[in-house]
Amino acid sequence: MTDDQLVQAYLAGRKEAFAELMARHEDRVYALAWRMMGNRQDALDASQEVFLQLLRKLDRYDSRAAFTTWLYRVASNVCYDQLRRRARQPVLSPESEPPPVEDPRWAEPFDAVDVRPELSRALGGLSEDFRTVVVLHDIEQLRYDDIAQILEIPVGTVKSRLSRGRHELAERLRNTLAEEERPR
Amino acid sequence: MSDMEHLAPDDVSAYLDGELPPAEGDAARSHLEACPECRAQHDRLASVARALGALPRPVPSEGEREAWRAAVQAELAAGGSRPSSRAATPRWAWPAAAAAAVALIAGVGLFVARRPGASPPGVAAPTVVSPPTTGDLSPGAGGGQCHPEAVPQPRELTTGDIEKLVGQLVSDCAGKLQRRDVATRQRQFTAELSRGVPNTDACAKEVYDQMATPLIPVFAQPARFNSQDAVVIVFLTTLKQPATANDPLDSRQAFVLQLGDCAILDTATQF
Repeated sequence: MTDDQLVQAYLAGRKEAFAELMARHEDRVYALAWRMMGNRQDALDASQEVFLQLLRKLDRYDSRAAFTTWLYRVASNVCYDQLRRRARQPVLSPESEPPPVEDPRWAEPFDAVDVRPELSRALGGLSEDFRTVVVLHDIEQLRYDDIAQILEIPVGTVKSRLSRGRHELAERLRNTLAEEERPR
Repeated sequence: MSDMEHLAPDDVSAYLDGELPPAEGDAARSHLEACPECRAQHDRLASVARALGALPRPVPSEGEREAWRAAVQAELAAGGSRPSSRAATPRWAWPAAAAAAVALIAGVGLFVARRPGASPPGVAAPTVVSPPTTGDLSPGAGGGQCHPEAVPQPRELTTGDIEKLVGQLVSDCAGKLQRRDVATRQRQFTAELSRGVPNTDACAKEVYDQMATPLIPVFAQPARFNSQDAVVIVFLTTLKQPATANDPLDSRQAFVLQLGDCAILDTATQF
């Protein structure tokens, strides 16, 4: 069944359809929440809130847009709300817990300098607006027009925020990336 | 290369993603081949994008998945998705929907916007939900019968209150204001609310600067939040994509803003 068919099945009374929908997308939601919130506990809390919001608002989903677009929009809004509620930057200290990695595709160590701690910290230092676009594009691999729909901003704004976010990251990581790129 | 006109930084980034139109992409490629400065910038951004794409993907444990499922099951047991009155109610049913909304809001008795002068100061009274405007669609015509609501009495707010506020606020502007009304109504309503609740003007502008979505303020009240003086402002907005000029602003976003620098202390969204 497609996502839209699962939504319709749930709205028609098949509660188990929501469990299927959730199972399909929980990794995606958690990954986005982790990168937005910057630590595991807040990512878990945000993810749960995303699922509850989806459940409460599923009858408002407009199937003219892709379900994943709507999902990312709800997830981004929940993360925004929770970040503002905390009124602080994400916790990304060197001591912070690394994300658990169970997928073997992602468990291979870098053979060059490991830039991940510095990169995660630098990402957490970006403003919410820049970080969201950078995460959706460079980590979640979404296209500009999809991100524009999710965040309800013009494509030109996506282009500008992504560029400024990347430039800021490049500046913060100037030495680390130079080391990583050096031939070994 | 000092006399060469360089590529705009945004274009270097977009070229990297293959998001420039074909002609601009060809021009950028030619420029990059000839300009070491822009090529160096391109390579730096490419390194960043590559490193981000190689970050390990966090995966929830089975126990964490189970916790989410348990929370969802509890929500399902409590009723799950509630029908959307605006989205799901046919136009002929509006009087019944309005009566139901009044009954609900009267029972809760919290943060209900009302027409100015309709109730004693400090006492929230419900306003009947009106059907969307369908007649005059000329610019600025939407919301002709609706008013923003300023409640001058401060109140102590909690996070729970702000969530209830966006969930339960019934404004007589709901469904009447459209995307096209933002430019005129935003100015007018912000000024009106600021007369009833000081600092609304400055803090609303702070929100406009931070949010890319169309926003029209419909409710303001001074507040105390986390022992700080604040103002709570509720905006009508639309989450529809793409939003056209005629789309109604039928979602709400509430912001609690600290007096002084208008820092955002809390926020909640009704989707």
